[in-house]
Amino acid sequence: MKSLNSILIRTVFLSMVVLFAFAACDPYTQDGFEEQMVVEAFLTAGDPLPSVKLSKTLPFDQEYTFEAAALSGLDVRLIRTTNSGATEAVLEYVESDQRGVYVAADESRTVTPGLVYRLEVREDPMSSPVLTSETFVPGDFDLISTNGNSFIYQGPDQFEPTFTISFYPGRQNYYVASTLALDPDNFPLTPFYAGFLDEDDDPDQFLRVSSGIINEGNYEINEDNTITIKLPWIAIAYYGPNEVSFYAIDTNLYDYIRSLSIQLGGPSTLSPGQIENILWNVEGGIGIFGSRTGIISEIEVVNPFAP
Amino acid sequence: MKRSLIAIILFLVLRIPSLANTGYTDSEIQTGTINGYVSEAATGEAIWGANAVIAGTTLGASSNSSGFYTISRIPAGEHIIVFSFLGFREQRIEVTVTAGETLRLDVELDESGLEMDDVLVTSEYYDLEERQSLGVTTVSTRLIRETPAVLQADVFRSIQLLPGIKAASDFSSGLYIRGGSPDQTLILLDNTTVYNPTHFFGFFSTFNPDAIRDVRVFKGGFPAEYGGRIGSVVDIYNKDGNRRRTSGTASVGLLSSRASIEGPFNRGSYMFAIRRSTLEPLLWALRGSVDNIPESFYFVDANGKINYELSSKDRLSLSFYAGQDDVNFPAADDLLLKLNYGNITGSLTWRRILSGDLFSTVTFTGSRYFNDPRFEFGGTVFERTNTVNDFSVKSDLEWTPSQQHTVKAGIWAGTLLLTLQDRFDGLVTQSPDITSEYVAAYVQDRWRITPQWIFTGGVRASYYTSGRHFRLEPRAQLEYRPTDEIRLQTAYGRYYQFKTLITNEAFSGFDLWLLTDDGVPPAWGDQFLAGIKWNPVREWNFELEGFYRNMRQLFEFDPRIPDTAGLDYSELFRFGEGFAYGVETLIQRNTGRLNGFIGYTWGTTRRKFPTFNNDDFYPPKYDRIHDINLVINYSLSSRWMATAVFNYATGQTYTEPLGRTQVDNPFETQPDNPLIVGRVNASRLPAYHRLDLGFTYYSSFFGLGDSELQLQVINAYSRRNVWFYQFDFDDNPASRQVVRMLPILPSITYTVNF
Repeated sequence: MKSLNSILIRTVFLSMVVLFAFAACDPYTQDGFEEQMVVEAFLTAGDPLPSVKLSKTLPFDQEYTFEAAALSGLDVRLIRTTNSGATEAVLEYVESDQRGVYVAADESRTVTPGLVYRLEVREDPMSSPVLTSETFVPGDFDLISTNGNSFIYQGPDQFEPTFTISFYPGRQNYYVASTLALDPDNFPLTPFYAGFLDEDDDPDQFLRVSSGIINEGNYEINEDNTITIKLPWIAIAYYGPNEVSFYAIDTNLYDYIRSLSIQLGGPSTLSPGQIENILWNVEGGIGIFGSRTGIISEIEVVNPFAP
Repeated sequence: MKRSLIAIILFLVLRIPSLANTGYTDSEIQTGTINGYVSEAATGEAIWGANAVIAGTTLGASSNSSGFYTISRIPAGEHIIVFSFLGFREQRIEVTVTAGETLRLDVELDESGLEMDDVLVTSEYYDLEERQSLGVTTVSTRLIRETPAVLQADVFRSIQLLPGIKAASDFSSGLYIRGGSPDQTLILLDNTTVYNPTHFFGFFSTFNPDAIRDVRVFKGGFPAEYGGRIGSVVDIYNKDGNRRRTSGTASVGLLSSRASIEGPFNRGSYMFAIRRSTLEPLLWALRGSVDNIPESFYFVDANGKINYELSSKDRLSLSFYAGQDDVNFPAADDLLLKLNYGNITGSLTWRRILSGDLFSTVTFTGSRYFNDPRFEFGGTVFERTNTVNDFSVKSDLEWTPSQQHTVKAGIWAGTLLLTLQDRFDGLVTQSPDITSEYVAAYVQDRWRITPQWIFTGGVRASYYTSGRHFRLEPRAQLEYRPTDEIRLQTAYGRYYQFKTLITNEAFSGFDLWLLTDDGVPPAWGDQFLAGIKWNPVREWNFELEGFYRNMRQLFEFDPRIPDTAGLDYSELFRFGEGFAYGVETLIQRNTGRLNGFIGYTWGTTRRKFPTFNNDDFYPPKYDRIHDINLVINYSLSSRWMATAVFNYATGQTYTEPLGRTQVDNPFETQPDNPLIVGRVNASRLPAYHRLDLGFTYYSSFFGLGDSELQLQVINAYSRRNVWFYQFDFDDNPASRQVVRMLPILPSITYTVNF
């Protein structure tokens, strides 16, 4: 028994030595910063073709300015195709006076809903694209009616526009509601947003407020195949005149907004300190090449506490 | 289906004895059986895991969770039977065994005294015999009460001291066992599942130390009688109540106060314990000078149990728990947060000695978890109704046909209703009701092949109607005892899990359970364990245990889904996999003025989910390669006890941002500043370490009862451990703030036992 015990002691000791030696190795190590190309362009149905901004990522601990990150001298083009992939048009871009910002050569062109736009960026016109991305512009999104244009804040009636159901292949629609204060100099913030504003804060941060992503599945479809959405009071930051927009967004915007929300610390199941990567939907780089189709109304929000 | 299940249960309860009593051999006629209950002499509480051994033979048994033991095939004649359990005086009883008959022998064990002259103080922290099983540890209530704890004694925080079990932070009592998340651990209270075992948003567990009798932790490789989780089991039993005299406890602390009473009545006993937070004076004092103090912020819970002896063979027990947390918090102007969540559990258990070698338990259980948050911001209201209702019936049989075999079999059937309704701005945005019936059956046999070789094999079958998933779970354990001091063990098991939990490590107040369904199969995993347990002398105990486990088809709510309306149920989830492996060591001194233990764990765990971390494995936050816990208990005198707890652990993982860019978001006034991250959780926070000290003074409360004054210092040298880094993306360049855990924290508790 004595020899068995001593064998056991030696076995345990050797196991611990091997264990500690092995434990010193951690094969999962931190990688380093790698520069990537960044694209930024937002297509809005019915609007002129947007500018395309091209830049590079900067190290996290470096001060960021677009000017320092801008990429110049690149070949940029948009290819407009049908759903079946047939090319309808190739829209050339030229670099503007601002370094890294590329604008459509033909400024009369507008964004057509229901079609696909593919972005291609080349280092020179004859080479293969180094960065590509594609977006389907949501279609068939029209305002039918509203229930008024003046509403008492937190009163019994809320702004309820009715519009046609947008078309997006393969999935339900995703919407974003947005309000823009039109006269912030003469009308105060609503109590909820005023409570967040400290003396040092910039009051303009609440000029435009967005709802986040709203699934179409939240709403019942009317008999005439339209949808009526109620604008929540939380979306109103300023009393007075407000521009209210509802946008149907593409998948690139959907992925960007929802993954960015998590990264910025929105409600989630992630542990503190765990950061998720953004869903970029860009080949050869990162960024957002997204599209949206919107309806815009103007309403008056009346302050119930005003004398 | 339900009638068939009831029929099966009745068959198992009523018919097995007649099946067992057929076909005696000539040698069996010359033997008899001894069975009975082992309990504490002072209180009458059942003792789980007490040893009963026929002196001079290899015949023996261990009492089960009801305190029942049975030793069969004892040769007729005179014998001495020895009962022992750590912390209690050994008892030797002369008995006469008559062939073909069963001798009923109920035994009461006296606690061993604090014999300071001989310096013989037995540690009650861990039961020596029961810990001999692979992957299982029994935690004594003494450890729970005496270990320095943040603001109040807590069951889960004591469990976190064991090797292989990690804590997420100073603010969380969640159990991260062998690389698993808390939802991979089944929590049972008197055989009833508890779905959110936390108070104070995860700071404490729902288990009142005054009400608890037994806490058994299966860190892995749990036997076929347990199922429904792929990781581990924490099996907790409430006290039955003092069968000898009426007694009670009253305790006042910084955070909460407790009171309990227990006592006998004709043929039975009762126990009732209540606990409530006592923050109201502090909140009232702060309200005059600090903004945004909660209008209401409390938790309360109550435990109760009634035991009744119907006959010498039948015992009934009725157990219940009810607890809730309530918060009413005006966080800002026009921003109100309300949260009410909690659990209600109940069980009715009928224990019956069917024959000399057959014991049955039938339990009816009910468990309800509710969670009702309400947010009012800027005139917009968000409300949720979230409930889990789980009603079931369980039947277990324990049959000891011979010294070589102990057979357990059982069936567990029930119905589960998960209700979730969200209302936003007056609209119902989602209202899924998920109902599932479930049934699980198991059989296992502990086969003592020779006195040195023991094999335990079993299989569990589970079926959930949600998704119509049927799964088989084999289990096996092999033990070899080359000497009385050494045990070599190895085990394997397959485990399935049909539920998943949406939770946040920092805040458990919104926990939400989801079930498998069509397109959402159960998660599963295999576990492989091996270990050595060595008791060279009574005072010392050494353990070395290694494990490997994989996790497949992990289904968890996709955190990137911003709105669930209009999505199919299967689209709400992301499916991944993981694994964990490690080695745990434990050195324990069981007796003496200075006693305690040191545990060291080396382990690692990984997860992988699609479109995350380039579809590569990454360590979750709670992956800590090294984890050391030292618990020391020293009797300064008959009145003073000192306790020290030291913990050292590798820093938790976090994701280091590597780069940044800027996007002019058309939906916002100010630009977005998205981070570019590399490998997820590839960096480590500084190492965590903390020393807690405690002193207990034993005295008398005006002669009415015993008193304990506990003075504790948490984080004695005020190590400001890092909880996480918070990056401010709006600063340019971006800045990083350190969010730290607890500073030095004194605590005082006064307890009277009458």
